[in-house]
Amino acid sequence: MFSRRKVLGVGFKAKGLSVDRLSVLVMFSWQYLLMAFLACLGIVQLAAARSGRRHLWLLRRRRATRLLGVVLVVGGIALFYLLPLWMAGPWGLGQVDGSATWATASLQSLTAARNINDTAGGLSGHWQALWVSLAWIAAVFFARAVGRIGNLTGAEDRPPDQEKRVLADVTAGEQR
Amino acid sequence: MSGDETVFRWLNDLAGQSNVFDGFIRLVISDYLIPFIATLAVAWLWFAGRREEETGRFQHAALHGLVALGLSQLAVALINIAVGRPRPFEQLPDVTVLFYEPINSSFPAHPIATIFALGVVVWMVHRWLGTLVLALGLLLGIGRIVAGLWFPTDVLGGIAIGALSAWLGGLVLGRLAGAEAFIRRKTASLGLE
Repeated sequence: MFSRRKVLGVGFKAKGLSVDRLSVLVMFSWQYLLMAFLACLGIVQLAAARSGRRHLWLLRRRRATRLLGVVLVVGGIALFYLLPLWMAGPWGLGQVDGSATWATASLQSLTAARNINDTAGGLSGHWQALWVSLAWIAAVFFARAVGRIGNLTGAEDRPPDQEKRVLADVTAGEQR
Repeated sequence: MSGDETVFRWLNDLAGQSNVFDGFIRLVISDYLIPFIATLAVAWLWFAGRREEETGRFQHAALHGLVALGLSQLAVALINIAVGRPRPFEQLPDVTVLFYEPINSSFPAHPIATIFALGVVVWMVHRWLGTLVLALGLLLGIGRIVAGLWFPTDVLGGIAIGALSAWLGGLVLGRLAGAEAFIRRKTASLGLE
């Protein structure tokens, strides 16, 4: 069997330290966990805004909660993929081995920066499953704790259709 | 040249033509983007139900997604041991590779099996969200063929395993009604329903 191939890579911005797997894994893990927490918190907000579960809302208005959800999901993912622009790491095409260097990514190499093999410190599916599960639990309990403070100050759970009926009654009362 | 290789060549020849296109492909084939979005879609189901009936259906689907996910991982692991197909860049000359070079079996496409197992379950209860997840899964599959990592039949195999896992997951969860009721009771007692 033969293997002739062209690997299209992008160079590192600066040459520096050599890379070891454990330091890549640790750095990758906390950055992934941060993304997962923010995105999970956003998903909780989007879901709770839809269903009217006010005890999970971080903000008091449905529209603001929904908007916050979108910002957290998009922002969490964007932060993860943009972070290599400012933070040094083994960025490049992902072929992190003994010859890889520790540096910030350039705009040109940004989309490849997170493509790092498990064998070189990238996250395997099992690690990802673990971090996402932890992030989901943390996000739900965080939202519940903040939502509880909101409930103490007057907000309460109310199904959306009931809420609409109440709103319609109030509007009709005002017109009368 | 087989049909599989012909389609592979046709797609892989798109790589290396444009920096913008290559950059886009590198992003969509990331290990952390589309599989993560598929997971978020299933997580969304837990709290998204508006009425009691919808909440029950959505939460059942979220648990169904977890079972289907487990079954798809098991199926992929077993097939990997049995098949062990080399990657296109290991088998063919002049393959353009846009990603790191994985060392596991090319068949079946593991992330595709995962995403389709979740996507089919989501689609069963929420059509547009499920369609979005399945479309993203397809994009990942095509992207990784372009990047020289999979043959088209690897992707098709992943889709079949994912769909089969979703179907089997439904049957398994049907037999675990007691466990499902227990989980929902426990989450309700924690105020997480």
